[in-house]
Amino acid sequence: MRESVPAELLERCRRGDESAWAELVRATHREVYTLCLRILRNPDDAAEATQDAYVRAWKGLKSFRGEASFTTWLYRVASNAAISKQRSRKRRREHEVTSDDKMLALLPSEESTEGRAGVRAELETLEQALRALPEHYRSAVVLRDVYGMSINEIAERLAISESAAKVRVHRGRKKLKEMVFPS
Amino acid sequence: MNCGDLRGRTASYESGAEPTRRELRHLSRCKECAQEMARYGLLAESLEALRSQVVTVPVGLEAALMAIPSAPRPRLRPAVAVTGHLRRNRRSYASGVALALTAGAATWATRSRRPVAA
Repeated sequence: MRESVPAELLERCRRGDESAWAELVRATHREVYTLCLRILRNPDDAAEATQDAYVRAWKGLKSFRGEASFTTWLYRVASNAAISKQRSRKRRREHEVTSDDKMLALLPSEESTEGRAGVRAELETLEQALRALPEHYRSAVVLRDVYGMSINEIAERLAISESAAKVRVHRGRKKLKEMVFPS
Repeated sequence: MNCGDLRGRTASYESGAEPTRRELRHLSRCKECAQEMARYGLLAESLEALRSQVVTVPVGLEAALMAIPSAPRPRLRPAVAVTGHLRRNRRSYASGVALALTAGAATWATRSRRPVAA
């Protein structure tokens, strides 16, 4: 995702310019979908959460005042949508297991990977380890360490206390480390 | 500081946070803790690198997102939505079909046993 979306593009979107919106979607949707997939693991759920996020973004654009960068704001909107979806679909836990093969096929494409030799393999291992983490740890670690959200923001999104968010991040990292570097 | 003290804190690293002087002193003496610390550092770096990695987006999603201004609640291609729904609820549907078949078979069996009126 572009680190900064031009203010002029956002302004055109606010005015209801559909071609500007299409440009915004084109520039951002892959990252937003990836975030949702990392939280939800299920491609259908991730697609639905992505749509919910963009509907909210479209409606909320007028209230976006630019205190944070647009991409940070969009990540927040997307993580909210993904977590809402996670709550509403909690009873379908068993489905996640059957979706693993499907998820494997969605690992980063060649064009999106870094050129450095070996990095792709490491990151794939990490993606797989993340998927294997229990849901409550995964969301916390993904939001903190991949998307750089603060403990306070994570606590708010997951509707838990700050200390609980810290514990989840801490334990999630520990489990992840054990999976990635088995001793 | 001992290994237990340090290990309890290594998973609480924050990106870019430097170890304290006491931790550094321990790390210079303890190979295992130093290795553990290095692993967490590598993990943090790799997790951060994941942010720039994107997955393949399902067909039709981009178009559905672009159509939001004209239809605020667009759905993904109907076929995707329907198959997704069926997949998610396959157990319920399978139970329903099984129940209907059982009921049908029972009705058929009852009727076929009924004596034909003379």
